[in-house]
Amino acid sequence: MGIPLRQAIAVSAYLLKQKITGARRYPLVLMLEPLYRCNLACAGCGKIQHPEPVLNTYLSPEECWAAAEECGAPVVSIAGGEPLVHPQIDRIVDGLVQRRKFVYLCTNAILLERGLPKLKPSPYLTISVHMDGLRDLHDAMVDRAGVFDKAVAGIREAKRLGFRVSTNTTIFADSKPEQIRDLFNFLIDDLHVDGMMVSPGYDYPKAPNQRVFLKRPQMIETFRSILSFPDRRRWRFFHTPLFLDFLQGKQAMQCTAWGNPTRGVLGWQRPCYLMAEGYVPTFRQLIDETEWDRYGYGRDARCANCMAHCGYEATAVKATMASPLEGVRAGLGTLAGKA
Amino acid sequence: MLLVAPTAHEAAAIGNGALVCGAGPRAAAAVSAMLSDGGAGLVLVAGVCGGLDPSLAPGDLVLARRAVSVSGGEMFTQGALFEAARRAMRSSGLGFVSSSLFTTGRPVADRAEKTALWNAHGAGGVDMETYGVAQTADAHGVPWLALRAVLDPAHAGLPASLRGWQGEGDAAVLRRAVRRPLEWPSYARLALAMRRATRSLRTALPAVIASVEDALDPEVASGTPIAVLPIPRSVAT
Repeated sequence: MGIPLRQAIAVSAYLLKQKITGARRYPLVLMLEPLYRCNLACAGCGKIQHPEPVLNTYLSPEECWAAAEECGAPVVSIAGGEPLVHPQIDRIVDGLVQRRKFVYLCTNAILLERGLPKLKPSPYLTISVHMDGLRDLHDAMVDRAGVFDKAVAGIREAKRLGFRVSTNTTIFADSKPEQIRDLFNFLIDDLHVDGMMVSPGYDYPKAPNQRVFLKRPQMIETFRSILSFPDRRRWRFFHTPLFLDFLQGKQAMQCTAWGNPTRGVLGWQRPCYLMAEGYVPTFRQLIDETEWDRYGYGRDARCANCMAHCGYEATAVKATMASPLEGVRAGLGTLAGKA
Repeated sequence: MLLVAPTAHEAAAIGNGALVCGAGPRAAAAVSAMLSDGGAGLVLVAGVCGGLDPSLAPGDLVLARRAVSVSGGEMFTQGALFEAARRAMRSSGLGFVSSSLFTTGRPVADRAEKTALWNAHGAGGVDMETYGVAQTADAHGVPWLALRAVLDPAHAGLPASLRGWQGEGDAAVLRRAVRRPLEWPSYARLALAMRRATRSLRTALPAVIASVEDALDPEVASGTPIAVLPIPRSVAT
C-alpha cells in the first residue's frame, strides 16, 4: 500500500493488539462528520439532504475528540458536509493530531486556500481533496464551474506549505477510464500528491441524480480498465493491493461495516457510513446492538452495488494482516510508495 | 414440520429427527413424495454448503432468505417465518448470516469459480438442493426454510476427486480418498470442517424449529410432530 510508513506501522501494531486481545469487532477508521452542511450539491451525494435544523447543527471540538477516544480507531477521516465550513475545524484537527490520530481532512477544496493558514502541517495530518475528474468532468459532477481550478490551486498551495495531500476520486457512470487515467496522471505527475484514493459511487437513494451510479458488474469492468493502463505503475494509492484486486473482481470480499464507524451530529450512525437506519448515543451500543448479520453484499439489497472503500478497505486490511504473502506485498508497496 | 438433509451422514450428524432427501436434483422429487405422503406445515432444509461469502468460516451458518438457481430463478422464504428463525438464532448467540443460497447441479470446487459466483449472485453459500426443494414446497403450498453450515469456505477448494460427487455415501468417498494420497490433507481438513459444520447445525436447529413452530399457523402446526414421515426407499442413501 502507498500509505506512509509511520501510519502503516501504527495501524499494524493496532491490529496486532486487537488480535492478541481477541477483539471480535474493532474499528479501523473513524468516519467523523462534524457537520452535514456543504457548500456544494454534488450529483451523487446522499449526505446533504437533512432538514435545516440538522444542517445547522455542528459537533463541538470536544465532542469530536470524545468520539475519537471512545472509538479508539487509529485513523480519523473528517468528512461531512464540508469540514472547512466548520468554524472550529482547526481546533478539531489539532486535538486529534495531539491524540496521535492519523487524520484525513476530506474537502472539496473550495475553502482550502483560505483555511490552510489555520492548519499546521504534521505527519499525522493528510488533506484529502475530492477530485472526480479533470476540469469538465469534475465541475459537472459537483455541479459548479470553477471548482476544479480552486481545488488545483488549493492542492498546490498545501504542497508548498508542506502539507501531506491525497485525493479522493469517486467513479460514476459518466467516468470514462481514459478520463480517470488522465486525472491520475495529472495528480501524480503535475500536482505531486502523496497518494490517491478511489472508490465507486454508492447509489444513495437520496442523491439528486440517480443516473450517475454504476451497477456492480459495470464497476468491476470500469476498474479493470482503469487499473490495466500501463500508467498504473506510477500511481500511488492509499489502498491495500487486495482492495484494488477486489475492485477488479479478482478477490471475493464481504463488507466490514463496523470497520469504519460513523459519528455524526445525530450520534453514532447505524449500520455504516453510507446507510442511516438510526443513531445510537455510544460507540459500544453501535457495536453491540447492531444486527451485523443483516448487512453486506448478498444480505441487504441496498448493499448490492456497494464496493466503497469505507466498507471493504477494512476487510482488505484484515485479510492483508492474516496472510504473510499479502503482508509482504503490501509492505513492499509501502516501502516503494506504491500500491 | 418436515426437516430434511441431503445425505445420511448429514441427517445422522445433525439429529433433530432429520430425514434424508438425497443430494442434488433428486432431493426435490423426494421431498415432493414426502409431502404427498404425509403433508407438513413447513419444509426445513438443513445441511452443509460451500461458502461463497468470504467472511464465512467452516461451521458458520447461512439462514437463507432467498434461493437462486443456475438459470436465475429465485425463491423467497415466507417473511414471518424467516424473521422468527433469524430472531431465534440471534438470541441464542449463534454466528450466522441472513443471505441467499445458490443451487447448482454439481459441487463448486474451484476458488475462482466461487469468486465469480459471489460477484454475480452475492449468495452466502452454494449447495445442490435448496432451490429445487423450495420450488417443490411452494408447489405443494408449503412454506420453506433453509439453514446451511459452511463446509469449504470461499477461499478454499475441494479435493479434485470430489468434483464429480453426486451424493455418494461415506464409503464411496473414503474409497476415492484412499486412492489419492496427495489429497489426504485436503480430506483431513474437510473432515474437521464437517464436524464443525454439523455441530453448528445440531446446536442451532432446536431454537430454529421451536421459533418457526410458534410462528406457524396453529392449525397447521398443531399435531404435526417433527419427522414422522416415512423415508422413501428410493432416496435413502
